[in-house]
Amino acid sequence: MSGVRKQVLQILPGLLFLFLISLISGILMPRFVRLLPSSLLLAIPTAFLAFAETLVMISGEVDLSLTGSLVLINAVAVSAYTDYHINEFLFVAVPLIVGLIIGVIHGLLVAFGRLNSFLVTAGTSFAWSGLALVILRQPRGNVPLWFAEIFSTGKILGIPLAALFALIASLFWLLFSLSPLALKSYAVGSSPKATFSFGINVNRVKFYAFVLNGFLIGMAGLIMTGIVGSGDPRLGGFSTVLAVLAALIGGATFAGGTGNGLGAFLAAIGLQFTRNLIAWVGVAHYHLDLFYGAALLVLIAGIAYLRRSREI
Amino acid sequence: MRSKLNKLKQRFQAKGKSLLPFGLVLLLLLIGQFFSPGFFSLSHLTHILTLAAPLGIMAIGQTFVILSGKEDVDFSSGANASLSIVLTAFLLQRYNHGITILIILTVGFIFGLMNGFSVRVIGIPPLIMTFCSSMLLYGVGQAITRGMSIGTSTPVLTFMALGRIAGIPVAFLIWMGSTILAALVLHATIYGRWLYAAGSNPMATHLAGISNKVVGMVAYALSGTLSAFAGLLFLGRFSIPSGFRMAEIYTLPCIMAVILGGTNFFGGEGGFTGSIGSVIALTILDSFFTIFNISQAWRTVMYGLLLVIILIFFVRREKLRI
Amino acid sequence: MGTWKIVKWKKAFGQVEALKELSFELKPNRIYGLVGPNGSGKSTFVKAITGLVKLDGGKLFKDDCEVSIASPKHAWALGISAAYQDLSLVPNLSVKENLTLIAKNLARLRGSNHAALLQEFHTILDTLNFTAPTSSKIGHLSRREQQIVEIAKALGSGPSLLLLDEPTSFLTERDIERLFDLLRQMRSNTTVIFVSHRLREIFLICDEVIIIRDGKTLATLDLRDVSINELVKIMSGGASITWESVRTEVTSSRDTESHYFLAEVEARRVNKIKVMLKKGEILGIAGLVGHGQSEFLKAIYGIIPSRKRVELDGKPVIIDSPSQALRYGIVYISGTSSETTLPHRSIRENISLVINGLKSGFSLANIVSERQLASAMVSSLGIVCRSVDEPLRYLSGGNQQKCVLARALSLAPKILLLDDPLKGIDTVTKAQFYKLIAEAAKNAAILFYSSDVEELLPIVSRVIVMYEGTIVGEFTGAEMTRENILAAALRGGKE
Repeated sequence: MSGVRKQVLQILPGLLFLFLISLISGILMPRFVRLLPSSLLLAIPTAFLAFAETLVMISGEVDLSLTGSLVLINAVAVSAYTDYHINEFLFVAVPLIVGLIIGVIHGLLVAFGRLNSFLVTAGTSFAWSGLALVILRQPRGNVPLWFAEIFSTGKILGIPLAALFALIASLFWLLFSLSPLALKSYAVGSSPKATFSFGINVNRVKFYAFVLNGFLIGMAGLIMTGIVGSGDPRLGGFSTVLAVLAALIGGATFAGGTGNGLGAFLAAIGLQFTRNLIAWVGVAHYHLDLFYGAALLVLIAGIAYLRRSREI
Repeated sequence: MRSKLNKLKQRFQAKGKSLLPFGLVLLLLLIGQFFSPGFFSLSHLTHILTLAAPLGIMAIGQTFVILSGKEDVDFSSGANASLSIVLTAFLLQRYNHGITILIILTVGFIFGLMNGFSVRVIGIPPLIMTFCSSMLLYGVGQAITRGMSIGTSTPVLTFMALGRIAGIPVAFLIWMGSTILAALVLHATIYGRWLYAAGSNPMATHLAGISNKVVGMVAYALSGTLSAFAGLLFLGRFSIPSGFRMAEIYTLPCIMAVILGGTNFFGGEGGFTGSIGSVIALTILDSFFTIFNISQAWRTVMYGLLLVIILIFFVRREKLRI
Repeated sequence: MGTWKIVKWKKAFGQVEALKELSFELKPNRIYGLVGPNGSGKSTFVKAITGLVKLDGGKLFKDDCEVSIASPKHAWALGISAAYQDLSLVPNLSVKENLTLIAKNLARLRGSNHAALLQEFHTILDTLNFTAPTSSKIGHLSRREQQIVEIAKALGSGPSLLLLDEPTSFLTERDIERLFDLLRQMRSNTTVIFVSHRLREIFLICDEVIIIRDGKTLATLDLRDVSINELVKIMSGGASITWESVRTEVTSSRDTESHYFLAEVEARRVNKIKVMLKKGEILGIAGLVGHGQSEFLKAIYGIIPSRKRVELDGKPVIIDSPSQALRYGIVYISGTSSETTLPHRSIRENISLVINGLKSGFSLANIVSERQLASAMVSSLGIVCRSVDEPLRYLSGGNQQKCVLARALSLAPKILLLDDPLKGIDTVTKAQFYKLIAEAAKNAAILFYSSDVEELLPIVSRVIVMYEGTIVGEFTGAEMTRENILAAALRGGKE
């Protein structure tokens, strides 16, 4: 089936990148393999963000609110539990619900409001991170005990968490690719006008892309909250840029119409490993961001250069 | 008849776009006066102009970038200014003002040129590139503040930022002087013509033998230089640099000011006059936040919302069904 | 059953009134031709009835019931489908994916099975001899193959109203035969509107013809009652007289020196072409659209990569970019306004663009000389505007194109490369253009490519016909007729 072959080809860049970085890390860093389960788990939130970003980029838009959204989700979840003593099992649903709400808001603004997606999400990023600060005021709070334990042991019912989440992501991508929404999203991202002429509601497709994106950000938020174990309004850092870069490696472009969620997922893990590698190389911690930023820049430049259109 | 009315409406909209911010300023001043008597006084107004100047200078650079093309925007303005703050404080310990200012402007120029080159020659989308270069700029700033001792502002800088000449804030004079120079470049030089053309239609510009690449690179370089220059005023105002991200919060307002001031986000249309009003309006808004004692967190939220509101009125995708 | 009534349709794009008061009736089971000069509103009509363009006014009646079309979805639901002139397909997706999207959407609207619909699409592709695998991306297909997919998309849906906008420009003779057979079969269930410039085809396949001009219906005629020549006369409304005089002017002013301009080009879609022109000569370039004509001109101008040898006035010139070409006095204009106009900038700026491009970036702009230049151009070219400081988009399409021409003429060019510059221009403006081009030719040589052979004949002294990047014919004098040119253009087809 040519569909499977196409998928494999698309996932390849991300997979190769991850493999390469793992190989280098494995050679240079003595404890790489032993630390693998935890470093994998730490990378999963960003991986979900990359997946989320890909969905949006396929349909021709972009989401720059990832850092802010992540922080807000964390804040709301932790606050709901710590301040309002929400039911422990409901707690797991909170990040997903907040993520969905954020997705819906973005969807309404960009798809139906016809606002420019990168400016709008840049703006909402501020709004969300500000709200997170309002809710938490400072790093504090806690999560249900059983929840924190799962993440500190890194296993649930004996299954390594990272593997479980990777499986969930793969399933999600499978479901998406097989759904009618997928083809429509690629079409909308490539040629909105032609797709419109087919009688397809372009705005609705973009809206759904943002809603799914919100849900996946919710997943990332859920996992991140589990890892950190409390609320921290300063979370995030490079998340947005990492997610976008991973999406690019996964085949997405700013023009829209291409991209692979799984490829981005894997690429994000690779990028996180890259950061660990740079940290290990021994740069002083206040130089870390500088080198990492430079490394990311080189990667982006490489991708952009390879893809540049021969035009003006 | 209907077409005549349409034409009239179009002309009014064109003029109205750059007048809107000034109307907004008036409105905000009146609201401020209502809640806090003395708001609409000459002394307070001059104070506002002092505060607005650095942002205004950053907005001039941002205008050049936004005018130059469809997606062009400079998200590294705040980072550039931030680096300039710490770098200036650092350099002033060793060199005199002349050399320091020269170095600062050169650094800003180089980072701006790097942005322009990456965007126009290598092909990295402006958003991503300027975002990344802001990370680099903060990284450099971080390296400077952690490793070495930083100085403070000097009387000269403080005078530039906060002083007055015949009752008029020096900072405001510097801002207006920069605006006039920039306006001359935009309207009286051939480069200005190229800039407007490149922003309007890159293909047509290319066909006319003009290099979009050069136009873009110069625009980004100008933005970098002006942002660095703004950093000098920031240092003069704040006296002691508190960290390497001091001017970070000014990046988004800088962009908002340019859009609110009537410059078309997609390039090719706009100028500096509207930005003057919108920068003042945003500065007044910021002082509202201080008066009403709004926390930093809520301020960020409001700026985010403000951006969305501005976008609703100024930057919308065209309909699919015309 | 199956009657449609278009009543007083109005549509304006800014200043340009594309449809003024378009009205006509369609009876069932007939094939209508829709003809009219460039810019008469044909494509706007097609887009409006399929929901891509929103009307400013007017009504539509299907079977005497008023219907409104608020989006393409409505149009599909009403049984309206179209094959667009500029194609409406997603290039990044495959043929199958494109058709699947449409099939699924249609099936949902009709409550039927999409597999059957998809099968119908494939059947039509087969009938029209589409041989490429359906997994190929649309963007990788040849223009002819893309056109076939576009047509299949429209026909396969079993529409009650089918619109075909210039469907045959890229098809071979055999393709066209097959298409017409299909249309005749469909006649019992479908009303067809066939929009085309090719009057012979109109006469072959249509029962009636609707003539529109300037956004209004001029006449609806039964094709048994009228001949081709009479049709042409009605359409052009007497402008042909002016064209004759233009041509004689040009031929009489030709020099007899050795060649003034030589270009030998090899580029994408151009297989080693060599042309030589004398000073004062206007060379026409003809052929089916997309056979390298545009690329040839672009290659000379340095916009696309190529291997070439160019000589001007006996001296070799190197052109790697437009700025170099301009320095030699070689200017290029195209008819695609999205490539040439700066809509929000003033007329003055638009006209002065090239002159400003040649100056140094550091030098001062001279608004006085810009105004002078613009005013001079406005009066000599007959540009209708209030002031040269108005934004260009306030002008009509024809006037905007005149500004683009003015820009080219502002340099007093030695070589003018015209890449289909009259596309979509109304007849009156076209006649004015001819005068201007003839005037410019006095001190220059001009290469003039047009997708419409009729546009070339009045003004050129010689025509070369291109097919798949090579010159397959050259005509001059008495042999330079539409029939000969068309025959040469189609001769390359290997069927």
